[in-house]
Amino acid sequence: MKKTPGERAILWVGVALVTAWTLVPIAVMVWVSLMPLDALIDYGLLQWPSGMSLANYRALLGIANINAVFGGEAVAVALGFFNSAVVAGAVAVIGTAAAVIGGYAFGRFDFPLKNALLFALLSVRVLPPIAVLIPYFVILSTLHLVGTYVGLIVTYLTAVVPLLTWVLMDYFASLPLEIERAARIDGCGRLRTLWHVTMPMAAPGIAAAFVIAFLTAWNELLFGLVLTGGTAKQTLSPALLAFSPTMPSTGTANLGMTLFAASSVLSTVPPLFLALLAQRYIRRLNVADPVLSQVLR
Amino acid sequence: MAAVVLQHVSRRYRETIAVDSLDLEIVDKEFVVLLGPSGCGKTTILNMIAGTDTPTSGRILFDSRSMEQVPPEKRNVAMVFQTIALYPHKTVYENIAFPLRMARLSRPEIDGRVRAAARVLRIGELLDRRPHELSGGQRQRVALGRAVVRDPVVFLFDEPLSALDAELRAEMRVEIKKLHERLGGTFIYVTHDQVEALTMADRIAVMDTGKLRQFGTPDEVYHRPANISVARSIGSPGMNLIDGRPVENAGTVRFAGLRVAIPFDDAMTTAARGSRGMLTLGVRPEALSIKPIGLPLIGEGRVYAIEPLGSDQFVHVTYGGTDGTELIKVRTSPDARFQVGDAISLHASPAEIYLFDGIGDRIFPSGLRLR
Amino acid sequence: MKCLAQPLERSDARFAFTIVVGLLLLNVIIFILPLIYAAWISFHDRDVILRTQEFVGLDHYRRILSSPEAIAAIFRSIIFTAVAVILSLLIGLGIALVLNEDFPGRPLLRAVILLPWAFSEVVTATAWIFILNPTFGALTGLLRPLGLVEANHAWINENTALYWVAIAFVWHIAPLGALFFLAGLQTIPDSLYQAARIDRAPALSRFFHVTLPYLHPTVVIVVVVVTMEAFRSFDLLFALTRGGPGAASQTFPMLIFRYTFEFSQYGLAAAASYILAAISMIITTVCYVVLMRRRHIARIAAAAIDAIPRPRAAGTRVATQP
Repeated sequence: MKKTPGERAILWVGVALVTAWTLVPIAVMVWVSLMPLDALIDYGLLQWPSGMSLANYRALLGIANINAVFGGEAVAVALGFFNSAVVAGAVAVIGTAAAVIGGYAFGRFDFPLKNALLFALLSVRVLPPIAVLIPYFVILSTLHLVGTYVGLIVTYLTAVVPLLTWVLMDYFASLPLEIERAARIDGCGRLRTLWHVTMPMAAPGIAAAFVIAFLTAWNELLFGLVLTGGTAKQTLSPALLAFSPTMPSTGTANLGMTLFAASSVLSTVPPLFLALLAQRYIRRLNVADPVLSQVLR
Repeated sequence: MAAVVLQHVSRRYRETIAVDSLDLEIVDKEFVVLLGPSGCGKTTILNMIAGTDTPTSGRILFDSRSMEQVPPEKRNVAMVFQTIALYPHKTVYENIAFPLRMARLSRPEIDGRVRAAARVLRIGELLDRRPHELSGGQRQRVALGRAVVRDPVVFLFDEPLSALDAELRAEMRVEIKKLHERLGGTFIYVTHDQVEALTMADRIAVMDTGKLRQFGTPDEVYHRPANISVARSIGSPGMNLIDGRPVENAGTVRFAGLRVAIPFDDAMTTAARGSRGMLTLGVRPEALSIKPIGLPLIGEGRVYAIEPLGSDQFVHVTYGGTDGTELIKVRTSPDARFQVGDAISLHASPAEIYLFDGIGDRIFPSGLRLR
Repeated sequence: MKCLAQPLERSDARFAFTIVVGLLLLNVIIFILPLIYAAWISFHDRDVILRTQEFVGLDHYRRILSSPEAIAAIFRSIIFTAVAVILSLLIGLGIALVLNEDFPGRPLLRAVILLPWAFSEVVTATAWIFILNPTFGALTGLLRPLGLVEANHAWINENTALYWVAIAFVWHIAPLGALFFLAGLQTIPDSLYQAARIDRAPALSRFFHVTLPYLHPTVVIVVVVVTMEAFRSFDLLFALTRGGPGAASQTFPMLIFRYTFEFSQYGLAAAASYILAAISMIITTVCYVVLMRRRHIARIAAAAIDAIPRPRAAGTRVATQP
């Protein structure tokens, strides 16, 4: 449909506004992360101070340097990366596996009480996390699971599995039924059908679910803070929070504003990278398999 | 190979009845076609035989052994689907090899069988391709390969040719028939195409809205349709069906403007009484003639419309019916020329006349009804 | 398949049922039991030091509902949610409208749009801190040289704190709304727009008569989702202002957090959590009901507007309404 020049102009204004709105906060943060350590205090955000470089990133990625320059506090950030990687990885793997089985059951089969059970599963989402914070904290500390990987992983799983199940359920239901019938007739029991035939066909959906699970666990603050804050297993979000300027006691006094900005930017990299991988994987499947891509929405 | 028996098999989904109390006895090594209009029933029957669907009531027996507790992967049947249903993420080789892998055969044995099947079906060069790279006909052959590479007890076909063009369909019909001769298995084949049914089947099960209407050889089904439903399904174009009130008249029956030399017996009277005097007369267009050639005259009319088809020609004729006009289709020689309004005389042998009662069952000629 | 969906083997039901029940059992243990425990806590007064529990019934609930601090926090939550919802709708729709058009770089922009949603709320807070900080923030850095503000202008103060958090929250969550709206926009058949153009309807009118009616269900979804997320939002607020300055941006979840960790008032916190959950559900349901009912009004209005004679070129056809 042809647009009038006036409409075209409005469109470009729109594109500019959307881009600006989305990118400016990110750009500011990245800009700060490139500054040398105390340049910010001089309040020269809009100048191009000499010494803009990736020094902060290099420092972060070579932990030994940090230790020498900044002491143990920065190590907490690095540790946060590691702990979050472990927790988010575990949540993604276990959560996706559970959701595949659950989603398959809900998406493919009809059974008594199906709607009631589905409702029960999804109602988890409705409550604010704060509501379960106290009992979880009390129960987990009684079980000595505070400050451990297991406690946090289990907590995240309860939130993530229902959501993933719901997403995958929809996806499984859209896969062609006859191919699974063919697998059954070819000699597969139900679990073998799932493994050999259904899951390969559902790979894009599963990849997406994996990324969502990882992202949720990686980004989460409240439970990470309450259950692992201040311990050796502290995850990334609480670690970053500790160095934020708004934190009264610690704050960036020990980390340096620009290093803090660099840490924050770096913290976004793993999930984005994962999402990119998943995207390329899905795209590769699509290109290679137009038949399958009809199945994908 | 096995004999498959369905006893009072029904399948209902909430309010709909897809299959209604079906009784079918299929003999070992037989090629049976389930014929009927597109709908759920026939595919459902195949699924129940395969085990991927369970009857709401009734039993299915393989060689007198009930299949009730036997899951599909243990029934040793092979199925070719309407949607072909190849595994999209596997190559042709892997698709065909899959059932053998699941049966845990050795690698060399799998390889041997896959290549043999590929050779028979002439898809040897396609073994490394994926389904989406193949044409419809090629995909169908791969599906066939996947089915024949095992040694199944029963072969099931669900409208396998409906997605192919006419030429390919004709070719595949022959191939499947040849396959049956080679493998000598029990073939159960579902279609809505009567040409497939008539050319391939040992016996045809004519179905309609989930009910079995007749189970017989192509000959029986064509010449002795058990009811109107069957009469309509077999033969192209379909049988002429005329409703009317039979009236006896000196040894012949007057029927809606036609005079047929068939005996009017008690069976007819009883049947007619049951349906307030109305019966249905059936006669195939190819059984009618406009020339006497030794056939008795049954009526006169005028040309209403002409359908020239090249190798065939059909003429629609109006004649005096119960309300003044009735329409009947006559097959004529392709060289005959007509004008609308021409006077036409209709002739037919009494052996080609059928009478059906109010609920559609055949009452004349009697005998050789439902088998 | 022309058939009804999902005809299946009977034993399939058993298979699926077992799985689901297994999942649910786990769910119950891990989720329902803590919830019940939380309810129990809310009915008791727990003295952490003396380690005693005293049954107080609905005392905590009464205290909260009559505490001015709590009521204020609830109000702030409501205001926060309202602002967040309205802004999310506008910005989300705006983004979607732009992305719905074709222009060079569109796939790239589509990916970029999702970045705020992919960032954690902590990182979102960080980014906005670098904009809003009085000393070194970008806003001050931009406007001070122009003489519009003084040095160290406190953007986040008692009057504005809540709204800035709302804006940061919208920045984070609008992409989700945009995705919904984009999906909705793409279901609108092109032919409707073409018919409207033939009828010489100007762009704004096309928007109101063609686009909006189709988007009605999407709007409902976005409102419900954003309401739920905004009402229970905690992470961003905690990272950005911690409820401050003072209690200027103290929403209800923030207050609950303080009950738990600053005052160690577990019973109060548990009771407040249930109140929060209840209010959240009520608001969501109300939104849903009101918006769903409005659909009829919208349709009637559109039909009425349609009836107004518009200048039309001879022989053009009338645009059909969905």
